[in-house]
Amino acid sequence: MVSGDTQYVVETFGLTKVFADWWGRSKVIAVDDLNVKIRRNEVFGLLGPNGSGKTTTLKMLLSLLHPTKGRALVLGGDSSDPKINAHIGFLPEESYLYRYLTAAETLDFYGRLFGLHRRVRQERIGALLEMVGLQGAANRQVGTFSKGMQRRIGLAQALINDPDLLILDEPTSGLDPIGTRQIKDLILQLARRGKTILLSSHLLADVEDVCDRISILYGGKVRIEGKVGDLLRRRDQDQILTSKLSETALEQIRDIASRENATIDISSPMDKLESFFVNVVAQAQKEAHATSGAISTTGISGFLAEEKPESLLDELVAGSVVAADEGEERPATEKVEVAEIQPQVDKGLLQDLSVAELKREESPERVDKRKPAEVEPPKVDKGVLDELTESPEKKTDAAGEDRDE
Amino acid sequence: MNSIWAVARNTISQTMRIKAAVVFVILLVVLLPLMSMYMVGDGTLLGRLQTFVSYGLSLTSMLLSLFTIVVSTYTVTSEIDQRQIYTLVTKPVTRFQMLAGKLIGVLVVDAVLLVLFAGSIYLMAVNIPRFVGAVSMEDEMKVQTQFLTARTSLYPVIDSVQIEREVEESYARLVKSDPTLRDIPPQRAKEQLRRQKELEKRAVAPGGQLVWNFANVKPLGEDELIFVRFKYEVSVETGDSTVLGRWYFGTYTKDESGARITRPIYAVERNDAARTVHEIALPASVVGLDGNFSIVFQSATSNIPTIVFPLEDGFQVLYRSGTFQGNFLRGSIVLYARLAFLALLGVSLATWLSFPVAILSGLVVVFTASISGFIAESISDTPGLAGYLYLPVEGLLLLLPKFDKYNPSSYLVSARMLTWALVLQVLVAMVFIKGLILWLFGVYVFNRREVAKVVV
Repeated sequence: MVSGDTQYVVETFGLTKVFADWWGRSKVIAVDDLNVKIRRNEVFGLLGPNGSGKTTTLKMLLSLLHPTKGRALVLGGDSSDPKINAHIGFLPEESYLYRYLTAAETLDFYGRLFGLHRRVRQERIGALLEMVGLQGAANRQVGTFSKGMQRRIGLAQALINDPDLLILDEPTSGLDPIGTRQIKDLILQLARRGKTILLSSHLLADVEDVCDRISILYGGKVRIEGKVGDLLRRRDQDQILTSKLSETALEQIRDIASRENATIDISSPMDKLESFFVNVVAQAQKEAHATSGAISTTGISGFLAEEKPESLLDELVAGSVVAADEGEERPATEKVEVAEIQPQVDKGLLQDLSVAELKREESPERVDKRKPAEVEPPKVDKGVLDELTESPEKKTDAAGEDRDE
Repeated sequence: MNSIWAVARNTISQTMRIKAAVVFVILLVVLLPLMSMYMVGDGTLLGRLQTFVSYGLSLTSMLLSLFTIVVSTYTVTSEIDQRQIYTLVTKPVTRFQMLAGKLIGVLVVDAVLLVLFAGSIYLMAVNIPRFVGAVSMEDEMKVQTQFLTARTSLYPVIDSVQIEREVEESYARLVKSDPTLRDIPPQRAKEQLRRQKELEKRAVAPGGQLVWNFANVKPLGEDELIFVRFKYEVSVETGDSTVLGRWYFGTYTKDESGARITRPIYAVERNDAARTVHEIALPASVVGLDGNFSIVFQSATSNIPTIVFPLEDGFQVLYRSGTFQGNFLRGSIVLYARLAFLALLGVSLATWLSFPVAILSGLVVVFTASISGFIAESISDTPGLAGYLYLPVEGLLLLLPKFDKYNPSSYLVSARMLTWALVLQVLVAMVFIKGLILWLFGVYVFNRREVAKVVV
C-alpha cells in the first residue's frame, strides 16, 4: 500500500539517463533532468515522438535501467524493492510473454510471483481472461496468439495483483480500434477506482481521451506539462451545440454573431471514425453475425471493480467473481465482440459498455455488479461528438508546434 | 520461496516444452538398449557388462552435461533477450530469487533425467547376464566378484622419505664424481633423480623381484576373496608380448601373547600379456589378522630387460566392502554433483554473457574439467618456460572441478568402492564451494546489471 504520508505516487528528481558506448564515447542523452510528479489517482500521460525518452523514463522508474543522475521515487520508495513493486502493474511496450505457456499458465505464473493463494489466483485468472476476452483461448500457448491477443494477456498480467500504480508503455499499440477503445475505457474505470495510471504513447487521440495530465517530452526534456483540458482549450473561441435548427433560427444566430463582430461557421458535426467503426461492429454483432476468436468485453474485472481493495481477497475467495463462460466454444482466430459503446469519454457512461457480454451472462452475482444491459441501439450524443471532432485539429496543432521546436 | 518455486516451475515448463529434454531422452532411449545389445567388449560376460556400464554412464554423463549447460544458460539469456525479464523483475521477485528459481528448475529436470537414465542403465546391467544366456560358471563367478560388487582398493604406499634420502645420497655422490654436474640447477637434477628412484620402486630387472607391503586390509570375512589387480609395461617387446612371473602372497602375524601365527602362503606362476589389466583372486585368509599383507613378484622372463608396473593402474589390491547397488547409487550422486556444478556455472555465465558465448565458455569448462589431470601433468612435465606457467594454470585448475578424477564409471567398471566420504567430498568441493562461488558471483553481477540495457 502507498504510505499515507507520500504526496506523490511517482516523483523524479533530476532524472537523467545517458547512454554511452563501450568506450564511454558517443553519448546519447535519452532523458535529461526530468522532474515529474504524479499524484495519487491521476492518469498521467507521457507523450513524445519516437526516441524522445518515454520508454527510458518508464524503465528507470521500474529499475530496469539505472539513472545516470538523479533519482526516482515510486510509491514512496525504490521500485526494485519487492514491498513496493508488489503494488505496481507494468505493461511493457510489447507484451514479452513466455511463448510456451498458455494464457492461463501465464497469469498463474505472475500470480504466484505475488504469492497469491491458489484459490485467489484461479478466481482472478478466470476474471481477467474474461475481461480481456480470452477465456476461450485460456489453454492455448501464447506464442500462437496474434499481437492483439498477446497485448490483452500482457494487460491482464499487469492487473493480476490489483495494482495501485499501473504503468503502461504504449498500451494501445497493436490493438484494433475496439481493443484500443476497451483499454481506454478500462484505464478510466481503474482511475475511478482510485488507481494511479502512468502511460506513455505517441497516439495522441488515446492520450487525450484518458489522461488528466500530460507531459510532452522531446529530446529527453519536458517541453510542456499540464492538465489536458487547460492545454487544449481555445480561449478565443466559443462553441454552441444544438439539436437541428430551422433556417430562420440559424439566420438569427448569424445576425447576433455579426453584431458582436465575431466570425461564425455553422455545419453539422462529424462523427469520429473511431466511434463510427465501433458502432458498425456493434451493429454487426447485434445482428448475430457469425464470429470467431477471442471475445472482447468492456466490463472491468470483478476484483478490480471492488470498491474496498482490502476486502478484495475475501470477496474473491467467497466466489463472487464468476468464472469464464465455458458453455461456448471459441474458435481459434481473434474475434471481436463489441459492446454498445457511446462515443463519449464521460466516465459515467463506462458502466454501459459491457452490454453485449452481459446479455449472455446468466449468473446473478455477475449482473449485480454491473449495470443491466441496454437493449436499444446506440444513440450518438451529438454534443460529445462535436467536442470530439473539434479537438483533433487542436491536438495536431499542439503536436506540430512541439515538433518545430 | 513462492517466487523461487514459481520461477523454477516456469523453467521446468520451458525445458520440457522447447523439447530440449525430449531430444536428450530420445537419444538415450534409442542408444542405451542398442548399446546393451551390441557392446560385447572382449567377448566375456564381464567385458560386456564393463563396456556397457562404462559407455552407458559416460554417454549419459556427457549428454546430460551438455543438456545442463545449454538449458541453464538458455533459461537466463532467453529471459533477457526476449525481454520477459521486464515483467519478471518488476514483480516482487529479487534477482537472487529469480536466479535461484532458474537453478532449481534445471536441477529438478536434471534429477528426473538422471534417475531415468541411471536407473535404466542399472536395470539393464543387472539383467544382461540373464539375457545373454548360457555362460560358464567361471564367467558368472567373475561377474559376481569383479563387477556386481564394490571393492575397496589399496595402492602400494610410496615411501617418499626414503626416496628423498636416496635422492640426496645419489646427488651428493654424482656431484662428487662429476663436478660438471654443478652447472645443472640442483632442483632439476634432483627432480630427475627422484623420478628415476620412483621408477625403480615399480620396476623389475630380469630375474629380479619386487616386494609390496599392504596394511589395513580389512576384508568382510575369512571366506571372502582378495584381488590383486596389475598391469605390466615392458621396455622391449617379446615375441608374444607376455611376461612370465612368479607370485607369492602371504603374511606373518602374531597373536596377543606375541606367538607367531602362521597364515597360509600362496604361490602362483603366471604368463600374462603386457599392457592388459589382470586380476588374481585369493582367499581372504591370506591377510594377516592385523590387516598386514605382502606380495612378492619375481620376474621369470630372461628375455625382457625390465618390467614396469605403471603408476596409475599398475598395481592395487581389492576386496569386497559393499554392494553394486550402493556403489551405483553413490556413482549417480557424483554424476549429479557434476550436473549441479554445471547448472550453477551455466546460470552464472548467463548473467553476464550472451547465449552463444555463455554456452561456449560452459563447454570449455566441461572439456577442461574432463582432462584437468592431463593439463596439470603436461604442464608440470614441460621443462623451461612452460614450467613457469604451472602455478597460474594450476591456480585456474583449482577453480575447476576434476571430472576426470571423480569419474564414477571408472569406479563402477572396476567395481571399486566409492565411499560416502568421497561422495561428500565431491559434493562439498564441486557444488558447495566451487559451484556456489561461481553462482554467487553471477548473482552479484546480475544484481548490478541493467536488464533493459541493450548490449549489441
